[in-house]
Amino acid sequence: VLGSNGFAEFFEQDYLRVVLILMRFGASRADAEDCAQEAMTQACRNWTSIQIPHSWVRTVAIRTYLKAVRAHKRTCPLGDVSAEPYAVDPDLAMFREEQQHVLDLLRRLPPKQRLVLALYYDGMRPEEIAEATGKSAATVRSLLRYSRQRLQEVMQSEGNARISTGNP
Amino acid sequence: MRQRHGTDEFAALDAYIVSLQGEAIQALATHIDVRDRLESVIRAAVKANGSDPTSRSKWGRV
Repeated sequence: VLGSNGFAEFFEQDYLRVVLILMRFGASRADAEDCAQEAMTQACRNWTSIQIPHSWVRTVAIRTYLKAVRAHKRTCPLGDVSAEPYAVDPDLAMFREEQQHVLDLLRRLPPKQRLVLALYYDGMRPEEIAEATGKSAATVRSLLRYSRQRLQEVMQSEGNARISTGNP
Repeated sequence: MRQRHGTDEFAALDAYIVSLQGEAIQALATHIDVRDRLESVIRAAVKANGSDPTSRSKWGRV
């Protein structure tokens, strides 16, 4: 049976999550799908030797995307986009307005903060993010603090009750 | 997301963003045929490796 030995289950559980990580990082939907698919293909090819597929495929997906960005100047702006005016990305139209807004706020963060947050909100621990991104765990924790501080300030300034009250 | 930030100053923010994740995945699922993508990935891997690289009988992954 093709995709046996747990790969099919892994794919079905993680593929869309990897697409979402890349979109949170700033990828267009098409680029996110392509890079997630490439990472999954590599995972499939090396399936029997991968110890921790969850982290492995995310690391490869991020690297694949960054490589594509650098090579082809794709959709992810690598500079600080925090000053860009608000404009809803048509790729985000599939999401409810609240979700679109959060994605947009995430995408306005500086790239390093955006990357660690995208992985963090997927459930990775700082140590895992450090390994995936080649940064120290201390740097990751620092980036997580700055990025969440920024997000929290923006959302509180917007009057987001779920943030302001601390009662999600 | 694993629960590990319940007492820190960003607990509400974390909980809020994580609460949106399931819905985002569902939205993606309505636009992306995961089964079709899986078949494409396996076909590409088989083509590159010459056989199914996930085959239990061939490799015996544990």
